[in-house]
Amino acid sequence: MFTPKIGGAWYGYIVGSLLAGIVLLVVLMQLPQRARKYVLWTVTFLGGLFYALEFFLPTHEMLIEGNKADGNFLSPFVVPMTNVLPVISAFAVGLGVINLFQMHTKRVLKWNLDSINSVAFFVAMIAMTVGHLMAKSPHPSPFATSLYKVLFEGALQSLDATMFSIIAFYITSAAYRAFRIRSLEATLLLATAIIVMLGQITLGQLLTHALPEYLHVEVVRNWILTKVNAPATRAISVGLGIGSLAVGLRIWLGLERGSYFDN
Amino acid sequence: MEHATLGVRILVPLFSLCIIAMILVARKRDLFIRRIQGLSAIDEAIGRATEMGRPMICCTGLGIDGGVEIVTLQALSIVSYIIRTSARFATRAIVPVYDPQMLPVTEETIREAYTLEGRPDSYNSEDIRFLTNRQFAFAASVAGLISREKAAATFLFGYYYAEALIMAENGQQVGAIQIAGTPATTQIPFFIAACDYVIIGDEYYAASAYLSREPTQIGSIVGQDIAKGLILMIMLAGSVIVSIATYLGSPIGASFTQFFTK
Amino acid sequence: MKALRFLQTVDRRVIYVLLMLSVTAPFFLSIRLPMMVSPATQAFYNAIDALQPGDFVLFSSDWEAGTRGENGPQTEAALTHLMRKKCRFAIISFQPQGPKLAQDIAERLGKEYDSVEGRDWINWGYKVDAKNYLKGFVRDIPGVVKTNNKTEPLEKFPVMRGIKTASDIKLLVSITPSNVYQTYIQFVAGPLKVPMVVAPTSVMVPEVFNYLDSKQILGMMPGLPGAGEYEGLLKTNTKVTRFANSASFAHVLIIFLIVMGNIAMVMERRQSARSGGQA
Repeated sequence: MFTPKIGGAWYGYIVGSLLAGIVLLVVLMQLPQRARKYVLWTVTFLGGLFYALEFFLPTHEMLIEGNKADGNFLSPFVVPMTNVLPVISAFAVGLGVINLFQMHTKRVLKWNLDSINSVAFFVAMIAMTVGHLMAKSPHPSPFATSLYKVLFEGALQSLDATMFSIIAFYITSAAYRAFRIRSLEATLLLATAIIVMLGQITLGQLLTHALPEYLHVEVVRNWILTKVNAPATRAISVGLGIGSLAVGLRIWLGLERGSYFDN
Repeated sequence: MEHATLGVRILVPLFSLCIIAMILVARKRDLFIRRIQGLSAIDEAIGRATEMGRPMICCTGLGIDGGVEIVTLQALSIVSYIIRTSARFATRAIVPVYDPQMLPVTEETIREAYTLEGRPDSYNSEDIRFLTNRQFAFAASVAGLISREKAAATFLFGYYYAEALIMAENGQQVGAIQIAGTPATTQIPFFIAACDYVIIGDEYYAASAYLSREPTQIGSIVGQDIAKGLILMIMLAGSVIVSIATYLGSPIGASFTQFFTK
Repeated sequence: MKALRFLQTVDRRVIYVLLMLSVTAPFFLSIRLPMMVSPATQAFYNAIDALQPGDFVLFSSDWEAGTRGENGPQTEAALTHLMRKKCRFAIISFQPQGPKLAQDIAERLGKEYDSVEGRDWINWGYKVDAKNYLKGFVRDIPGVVKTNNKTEPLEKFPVMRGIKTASDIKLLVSITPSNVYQTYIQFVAGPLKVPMVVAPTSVMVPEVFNYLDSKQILGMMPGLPGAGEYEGLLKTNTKVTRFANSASFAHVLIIFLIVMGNIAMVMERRQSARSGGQA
């Protein structure tokens, strides 16, 4: 059932899957709102049940994809699921693109001062798509390669890096504004921040190099991070883990009120 | 772990039972949850946006691995409350979306929030915007949105990475009242530096219960507290047992650890 | 009084200019600050150094151009060490730009250390949905990965010889600005006891320390300073050391600004108290 298909069968399966998907979508659209929610909940429940049972049921040594591993009767289906799920999520990207097209087309048609941003969106999107397709063709021309380099390495990567570097400017001004010793807690916070910052840099480490080792700023910093910060973040993580379990359970069992799985 | 250990096989269903039992209890009688200051400020922020006649930005974060995730659904449920409150005052709320898979869920939730307040006509599909699923491009888009719209209030809930500060600082620069909540412990300090109120740790998962006062959610919070109490007891018992066993050279300590790891 | 107020309310644009100067100045000055190796970086180095020639390493390059400043030098340092040790490695990424960025570095270093793609290393390319992917991956690497990033079947490459499940991985290296390393701990390093090291960005260091402290990971290369320390251990060039000087200067500026603002605030309060609360 899960063996790769080649040649004509491959095309057949692709077309068949697409048709089945379209039919399913049309049927879902025709269902009344309430019935649609039941369908959604059933799919969610079955999906969750598969992973929960596979995880909790007792295991024994068995052959999975030709390799010896611990598993139960559901384990052989994990690898096919791994291959199927990314395909489903890939289709969702289309939803985003459609939304972007709809919104920016409306804005261009309305035409005002802000429409220029929407025009920029279309120009960038088309340029990136064309540039990528040309460069990834079997025999790319020198122009295509240069275009790809300019767009991806020259523009996209540099713009990404620029946005990340802006954080340095923002954190400097935010720290300057926020770290004021207005209370005992704020003073403790400030002192800790300065120790951790100094412990992070060579200059800070040099300052305390002459002191006994336990007073070295990097040693104090490590102590703060492992003995003060780590337990606190672990405690937060325990709370978050349980919180996540609770929300997961509510969604899985259909107990959550709200538009996605209302009862 | 690939499969549950004995400890996990016992404890996870036990915690789940606590949560489900308390949900059922909460449906029958009132349960108490403490005040969360940051969430109380949400109404104040909406009020301010209404007075100023400027929009609010409600962001549901980037998520952890992408797709429809619990952490983002939780953020959406808080945003849904914000939209319901703001709909009463006809205050505009813009919801930027990071993940295309979250777009239909977000649209549906926001539409329903307006409908529940009897204002389905206030729903504007243009205000639920998928921007991009590139981290820093999204940060730039949200920052631009905050600056262009001169947001009166920004709500940053959900999972964030390095872009958290870019959004929060831009909100600060336009003078927006800012409320943030994230389970991302690395981003909490940045939010504290740039926002007016920050919801930290598991308050994040308590937020929708606190806001909606919905019995299912309140029961779930109380169930979580019981589970956390159990974890605390196991940790304390474990520390004592393993310490004493190590001191006495008894194998009980190792057995206790193996209960959770094997 | 006016001066004290000014020191507390320095315009953010002035701060930006000061930061820019403090970051760029080290590029033009020949300052050489000594590099002290942290225990976390040393542990990262030791984990790779303990590998035998031919050992297979999973190299997860989960970063994009945005964090190149930190993750780039980390990738370069770790790959240099792997190539010097003649280890086999596979690049994988849950970020679209990750495989290309790591590929460029691996190709460049490969020429220097005679490490050939296909024979000594392979690029598995971009993958989606880390949690779901790794669940299947640990059980059947060839069945889940299938091809390299150029869609050529894995069987074709000598580097893949003997690699069937995650148990065949001798070390997992995660270079990341995100928490994908936690997913690796959950699905690969934890259950299959695959040794793991992490190179996070500086901002993530406090969080990653938890896993280092609990020995769930063997070592950590903390951000740019960590990459500088690693370069020192490898005795390669001093490019990163210069970047690390920029980080040092920027930290000093931040501390200076915070201290200045606070001193001005305290002095203003005192003056105000003396003059009977008239600010």
